[in-house]
Amino acid sequence: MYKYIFKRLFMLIPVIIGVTFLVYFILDFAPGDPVAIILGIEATEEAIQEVRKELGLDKPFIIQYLNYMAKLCRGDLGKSWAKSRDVMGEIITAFPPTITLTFWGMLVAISLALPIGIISAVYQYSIFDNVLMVCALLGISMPSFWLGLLLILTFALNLGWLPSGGVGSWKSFVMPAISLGTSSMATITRLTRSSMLEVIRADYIRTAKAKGVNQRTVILKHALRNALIPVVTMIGMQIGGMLGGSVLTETVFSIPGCGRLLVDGIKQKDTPMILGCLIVTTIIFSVVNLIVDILYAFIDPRIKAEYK
Amino acid sequence: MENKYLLDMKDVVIHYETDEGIVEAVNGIDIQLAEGKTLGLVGETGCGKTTTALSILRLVPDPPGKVKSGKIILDGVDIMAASEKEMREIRGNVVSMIFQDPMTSLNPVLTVGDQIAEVVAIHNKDMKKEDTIKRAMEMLEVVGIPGERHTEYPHQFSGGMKQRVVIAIALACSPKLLIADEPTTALDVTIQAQVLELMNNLKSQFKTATIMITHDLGIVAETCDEVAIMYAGSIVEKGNLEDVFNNTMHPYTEGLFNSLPDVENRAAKLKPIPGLMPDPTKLPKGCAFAPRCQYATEQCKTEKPALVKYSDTHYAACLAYQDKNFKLKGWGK
Repeated sequence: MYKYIFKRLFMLIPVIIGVTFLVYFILDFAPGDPVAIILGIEATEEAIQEVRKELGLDKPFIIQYLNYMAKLCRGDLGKSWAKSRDVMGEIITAFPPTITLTFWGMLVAISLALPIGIISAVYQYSIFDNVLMVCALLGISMPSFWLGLLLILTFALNLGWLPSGGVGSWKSFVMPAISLGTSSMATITRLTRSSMLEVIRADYIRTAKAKGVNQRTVILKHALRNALIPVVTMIGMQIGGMLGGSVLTETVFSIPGCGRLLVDGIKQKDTPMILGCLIVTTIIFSVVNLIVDILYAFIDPRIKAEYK
Repeated sequence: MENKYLLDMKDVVIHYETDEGIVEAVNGIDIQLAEGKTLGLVGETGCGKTTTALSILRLVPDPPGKVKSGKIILDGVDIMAASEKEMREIRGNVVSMIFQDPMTSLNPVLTVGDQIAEVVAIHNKDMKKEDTIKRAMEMLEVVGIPGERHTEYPHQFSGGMKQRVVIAIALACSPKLLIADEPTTALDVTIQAQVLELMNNLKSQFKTATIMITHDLGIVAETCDEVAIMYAGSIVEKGNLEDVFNNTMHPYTEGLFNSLPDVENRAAKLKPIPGLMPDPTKLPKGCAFAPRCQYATEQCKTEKPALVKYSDTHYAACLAYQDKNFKLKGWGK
């Protein structure tokens, strides 16, 4: 098991090299001069050349990339071109709001999605099931920024119960969590339902019933664990995506999180900032996926046997 | 009168009501089984054997399955009228079932020990957890698996051993009735023989009455006291082994025997029954077997034969016997 974990973490190195190279390459080709953006339209040619030299942009692409990687190996994410501040520092300040938002969003999603999915499966085609599945479909189809705006209109502008944006007390996270969690919740609900439906028709569920096991135990002990694998995968992917920064939700609610940082970086063609955000996202995604894979082993002994 | 039998099924009718039509899976079945006896329920795939068995545990999947009418008395309890709680106490304790495919009938995420101990714990509420595990280990030994393997998961066992585990689960609470639904169909032949021998030994050891569902007449001859032949949801012939094997009355039973390979004449071609079983959503008006029966007359197409008693033990449902001189041509002819 430890060997497996180590192997997976080791795999991160080629992944990061691939990601950084690809992003550097694409940004180099992309139109727009970051120096012009930093200095504005009225900058003199000399000033531009000076800044280019200062940022190392006068060197060929591959040298720039190698310089960046050399610094990265020492754990240095470089300085933001636009803000001339440490990228690492920027990310560290932007991270807490994103983590808080992810936590509440996921809590909203999971705590509702699992019970609803299970109940819908057990009472398939009942009114409860039909109503909730229509709601889930709405939840998936609804863009999160639109839901966010509706929430702001209702609860911030009209009722005045909650702040419309920013990071303050728990109150400021209620609406972002709901608007971020809704689509995840809908996705997880539908997946839980279909996964449960498949499992409760399985032969071993019939065996359990034939033993005299009561309905609750059949569902929670015998069926749920078998149905969890795809659900856990999906939850992991959703968490990874949210931790990388939920651009739309953070923009709508003006939360200074990782998503905002990345979007600002892209607007200003701030290569170190973009790369820093993406490296962090890559690591988060890989680690969350690894955690999901380790969870598999605890859910299903057949998978555990394969992790040698 | 009702206490005479452990299991008394009267005129049980079960339909599957689907969007495509009503599947008449079981059409008025009578089964009586005394304690400790073994009944072979024989028929082709899809003739309603499993549905009949599931109705005894009241586990016919609903929807779409509906028990339309009839009475099932098991160990003095009216199964149709029992509450869900009473049914849970009966399942696994009074009646157990072994399912066809051992590969899929064990829960992959629970250890085999837990799965055996679970049924023990359900039906012995005051038993301590350690004791249920101990009992599970004993049961594994009984079916010929070392007790210390109780911490292993189903995927660590072979098919034959999984079926042994399933048998251990079924017998863990010493039920009065064991329903074995084609317990050896999914196993290869050498393992089949082992599992059958094991079941035979355990049956006599635990004095369990058994319903052996199979399409293999060889298994019936080896394990059963009585036989009921099913066709399209009805019993067409029943009796003891002697009645059905040596004084075969129903043309379908004869057809089944004819389809067996002849050990003495290996060059002989198999004689399958021509045609297919009728679509259970539109059963013919008369005898369901008539379209495939070499003895069928015009009367067979319009009139449903009733199960008629021909001796103390032997019953058959065939109109041909209205002619006192009628005789089947016999096997192999």
